[in-house]
Amino acid sequence: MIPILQFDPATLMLWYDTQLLATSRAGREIGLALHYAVDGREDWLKCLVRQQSDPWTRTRCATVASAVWHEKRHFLDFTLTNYGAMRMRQFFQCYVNLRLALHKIKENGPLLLPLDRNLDALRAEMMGVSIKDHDLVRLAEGIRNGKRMILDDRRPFIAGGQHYEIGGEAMFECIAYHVQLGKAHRVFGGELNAGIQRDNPKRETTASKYQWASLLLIKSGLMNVTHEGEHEGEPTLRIDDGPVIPLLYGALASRYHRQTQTRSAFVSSYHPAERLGSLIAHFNEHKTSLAGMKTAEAWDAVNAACKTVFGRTALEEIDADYHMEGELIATYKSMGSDEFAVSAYEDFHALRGRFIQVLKDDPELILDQAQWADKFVNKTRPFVVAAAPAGVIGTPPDGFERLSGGAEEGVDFAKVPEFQWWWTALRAEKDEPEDDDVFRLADRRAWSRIAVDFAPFSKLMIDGNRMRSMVGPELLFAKSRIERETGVSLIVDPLSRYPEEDFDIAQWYFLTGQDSFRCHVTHQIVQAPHGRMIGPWEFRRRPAFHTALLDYLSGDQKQRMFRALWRDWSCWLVSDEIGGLFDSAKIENDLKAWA
Amino acid sequence: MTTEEKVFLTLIGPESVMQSLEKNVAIEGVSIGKPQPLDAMVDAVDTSLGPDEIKMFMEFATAVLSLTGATLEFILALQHGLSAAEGANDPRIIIVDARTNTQIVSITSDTDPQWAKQVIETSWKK
Repeated sequence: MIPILQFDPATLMLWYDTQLLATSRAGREIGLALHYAVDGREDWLKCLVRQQSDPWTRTRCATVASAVWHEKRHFLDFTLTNYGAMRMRQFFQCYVNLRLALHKIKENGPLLLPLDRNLDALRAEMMGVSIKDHDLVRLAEGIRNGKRMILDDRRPFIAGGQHYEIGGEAMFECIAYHVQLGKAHRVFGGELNAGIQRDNPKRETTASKYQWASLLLIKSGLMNVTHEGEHEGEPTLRIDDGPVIPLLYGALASRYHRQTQTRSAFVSSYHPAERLGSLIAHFNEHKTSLAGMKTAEAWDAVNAACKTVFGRTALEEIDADYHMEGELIATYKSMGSDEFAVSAYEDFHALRGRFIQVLKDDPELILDQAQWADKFVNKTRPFVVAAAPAGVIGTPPDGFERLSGGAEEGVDFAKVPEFQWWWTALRAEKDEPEDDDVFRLADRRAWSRIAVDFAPFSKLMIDGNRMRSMVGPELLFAKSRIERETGVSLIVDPLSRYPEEDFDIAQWYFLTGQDSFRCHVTHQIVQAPHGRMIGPWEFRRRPAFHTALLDYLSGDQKQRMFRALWRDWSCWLVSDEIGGLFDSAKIENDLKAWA
Repeated sequence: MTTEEKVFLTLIGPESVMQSLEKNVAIEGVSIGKPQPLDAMVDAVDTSLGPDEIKMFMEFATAVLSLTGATLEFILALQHGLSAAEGANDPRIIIVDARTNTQIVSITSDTDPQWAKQVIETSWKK
């Protein structure tokens, strides 16, 4: 799917594609809805939605606003829970070792990316590299073990021909979707909320990805559901959701930092998936009537169950994890690790501490969807990044600070403006002193450095170019910067040289609400359902296509196209005919020319 | 035998199958490395506005075949390994040229081993 709005755990930032939003049928209105939701201006948001006479625009404004609430919930859960903190730790371990790694790469010589691939002797032999340095081996082993640990938790189970994932990330998705719909119902009402649920081309995926926990609890008899009637041919259900988030939070209080685990044939205190299974079995065995409990009561029951099953309440588990995280940060600090990385980690730790305190003092603000919706979500403020994958000529608008882009040295931009552009920009937030009302990261400078330098470097180390990202050139620039600074070649493993791109033009028509577009190559109008969408990496793997494109042009047009090819990391929309020509161009697996 | 003369392949398949291959395949002239997860969790988290599909949990391993090695025996071993697939719908092992990441062949329990042998051996002559 084309990413339009994302939460990036590596930076804890909310990213949105400003160009894709602008292309849509009601770009201005949808953009406003997004920013009102980010800023918690609910009255303005309601007014905006009410004013829309076009049903598509009204629903889409509500959908985008609700998607912001979904991502804000991810920000909370990634920061507060033990599982989220573990996911953050995999990044921070790379961030704090960045300087050391650069130094060691220089001494070691050519290496494979992702770094853990160097541990595969056959692969290292094939690519003609070897990892000799002890510290790099340790870093590679850390990455390998982290991947294994995370993936052990997300092993899917299959029921009725459907794949279900029940690990920590799947729990995050369930919680976020659950509270997103609850909030949408409270802000926009039932009818528009139903519209939001229908405003999705993949309802089956939505059901298996976001609603499995509710189904599992209902089937396990731990949650009540009542059939109330029908609306437009679909059943309307009343769900007493009190136990959902408390139970998932009990599971997400997973035990890490190499602590001794509580294990038996049916119990494990380790991963969220294992903990959830242990807790459900416990409640079933003890005939605890979790169903029908209100949130606070269910949270007490979950804590008591955790104490019995794992030896610690969920809160004690979180406290232990938080304490060890503090010790880890102190160790990094004493080792003289990079000051930006340590500052960002301290900032994360401080915010996590504040969230934990809320969970202790007023748990319903976090565990009850209605309380979260009414009293807490608008206080949660992740940093916001505007992304413009095609590159925007000039400088970012007021209120945004450039994170990435290009600017040729010694060029008069007044005469040749296209030599300066931006890809990503960080929204400026009011720098008020931290108070009880707003929950956000405080050290903007450190997080900005994380987004620009540390995160792309770490993503390369962990996954090469394979991950989905909203932009993309940052990975190539990070690689060439490391090569320049160390004088050592980094070879991206062929398996991780580019992400899997499966863009479908139908997704673009759905996201934008448009029924035609202008071909990026021929400029002819293409009507739905025709046309093709070519992803930026896929595009760069067919240099013969660019050569043909450039050969066709001459003079200024050729120069302009050359710069556009360099700058534009958006998906290209082309006619079927150009799509056919693209398909016939030879695929190259080496992206060196673009690095 | 030099690195240039060896054939390096990437095998991609369900976790249970890949783990079983590492443990059970012992063929002269064939080496299989330790399986590793194909994906890391560094992606941004998507929204409900068009979620990505849930992907099957896959692993990969590097395999080396010497030119004189037993390709047929290797394919039969892969097919035997597919019987270890737990819960996978239509389990298969995808064989990829490890240097170029180009798919060579997809092996299922129904694949004709002689045909697959021919496809693999043709690929390394290209």
